[in-house]
Amino acid sequence: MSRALLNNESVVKFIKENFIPVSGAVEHLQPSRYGTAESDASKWFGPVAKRALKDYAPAGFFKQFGSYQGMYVAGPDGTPFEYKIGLAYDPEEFIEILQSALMKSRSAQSARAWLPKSVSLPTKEAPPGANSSTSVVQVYSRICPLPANATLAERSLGRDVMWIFPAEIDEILSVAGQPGVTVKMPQTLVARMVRFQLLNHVGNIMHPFSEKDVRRADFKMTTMESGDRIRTFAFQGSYASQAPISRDNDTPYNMEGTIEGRFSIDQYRRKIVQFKAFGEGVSQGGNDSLAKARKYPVVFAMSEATHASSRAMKPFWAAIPLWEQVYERPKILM
Amino acid sequence: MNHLNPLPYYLVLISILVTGTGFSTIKPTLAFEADRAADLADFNDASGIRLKYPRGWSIKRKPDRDTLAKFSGKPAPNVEAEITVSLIDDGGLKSEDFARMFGDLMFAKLSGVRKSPLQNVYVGASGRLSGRMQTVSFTMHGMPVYQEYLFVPGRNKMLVVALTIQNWQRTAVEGAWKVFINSIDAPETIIPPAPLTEVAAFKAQAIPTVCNTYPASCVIKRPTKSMTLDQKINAVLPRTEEERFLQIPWQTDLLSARMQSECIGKPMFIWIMDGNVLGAT
Repeated sequence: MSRALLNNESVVKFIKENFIPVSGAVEHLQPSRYGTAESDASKWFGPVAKRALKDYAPAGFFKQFGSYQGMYVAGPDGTPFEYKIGLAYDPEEFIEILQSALMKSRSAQSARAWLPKSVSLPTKEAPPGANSSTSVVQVYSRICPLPANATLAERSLGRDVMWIFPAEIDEILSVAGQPGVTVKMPQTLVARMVRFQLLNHVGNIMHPFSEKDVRRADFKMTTMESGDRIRTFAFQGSYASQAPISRDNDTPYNMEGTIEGRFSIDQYRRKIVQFKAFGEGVSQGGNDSLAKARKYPVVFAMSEATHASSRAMKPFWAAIPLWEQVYERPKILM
Repeated sequence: MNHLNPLPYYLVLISILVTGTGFSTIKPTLAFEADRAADLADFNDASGIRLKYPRGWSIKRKPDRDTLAKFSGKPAPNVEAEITVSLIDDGGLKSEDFARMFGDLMFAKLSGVRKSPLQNVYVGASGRLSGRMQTVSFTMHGMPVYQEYLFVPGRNKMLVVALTIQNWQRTAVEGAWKVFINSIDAPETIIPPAPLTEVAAFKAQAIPTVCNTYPASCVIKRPTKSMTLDQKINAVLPRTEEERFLQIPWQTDLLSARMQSECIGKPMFIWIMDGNVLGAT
């Protein structure tokens, strides 16, 4: 939903021309919210965020919500020039907001003389994204068909990335037979798709399912081609999950569907070189304020990641400390 | 992806409110009220205005001079709504002029305000209270807010019933909203009912809804079974206009970006959410 504003050509142009754009995650830059360790970046950003919220957010906002999420315009010395919580602005109005922030920064720049200068590079932090051995698949989802009078959120595109690890590549290669032979897919990969990836990411983020929530996860793959270097597989899956009613989840909360696809592996590099899949399912329930307790038909497309940004971040749920370890080696108990 | 729920904050800031439900008829909702009678509570004001409201909702009487009561409730999990009922001196203004003046005062400092035309309706327990309805949307701190207003002219007074909610939650509150406006009862000395012949001849029309956000992404046709795998995938993949944000040279290392900002002399534009914003929605 929020990305709609940042897909506007004029907004994109204005940001590119006038700012150093940075994207970040609350769990990294506000570790106190998730109980994670401080980093140099979070130590620097914390005071910036607090000041921005104090100067630009509605009174009491941080006290009520406790999150640093939002958009900031800030100078390198940590001076905030604007903060906005949401992104439901008309593009022209948003550019005016950015223009105003830019003018403030220029005034501050001339007053304080934080002029272009040569400075030493900070310690490079480990990138949050995938390491070189991990295969990355981009996952897109949409509500389709849309309900009548669909909201902006419902009409948006869900995006996430899925990681496939070398151990799973090895397992695929070891169990795969001759062309035409069908075998089960690695259970960790199946569990990752069912519990973390094949969720309704459109507007209302579904929480992942626990290992006990999965009712059905029948995924099989068939060797299609087996060359010297590249091996290609087709796969089909059927899945269903249902979370029990709980304090955090007090409405029906389930997901079921099917998926079909194919993927190719470079045996030498132990990497996915092509991954194409289409899925469809029905989700019910959601876990945040954007969600409605209703059923949604959802379609998915998966494709090997080609954009650098896809490797620069973690899958959404892998970025949440609670799920980080589980995401890599998920299980299913049925 | 945005896990914040800013509505409570809006509810603090905005004293009058509701959502754009766009329902086309008013009377059928009485059935809802009858079915749920046990779940409804009675509100009786000293002015003589009476109505019913969901029993689970909280009520604050006389929060200010003109407001009879402010009702707050959760019509669905994670959905918070507020409905206010006010009786205001109309200053001799007709509904249209009153609504315009009212809007000018309410929305003067808000962004992206869009208002629907006023639409005639008949509401109340008798179905004979002649009113005008209007949907309004605006943004507050970048968040879309929807309101629905009912103006019922009386004798030197205007009864204003208003609901506020975030746009994506509006359907959740529709039933509760209809309970409010279809249960209003007022003494004839305050609001004279419309003649029966007038009500009988009335044909309800849809209340136009307004949207304060520009059109989002593409609407796709659901892939069919006859399509090839690639065709199905291509139908779902993002369109060019859905990935323009990737043309922005986002940096993911804040400290490196800070140094670059200092070297080049441009401020940083920092976008932060739960989960990296370049990944999930």
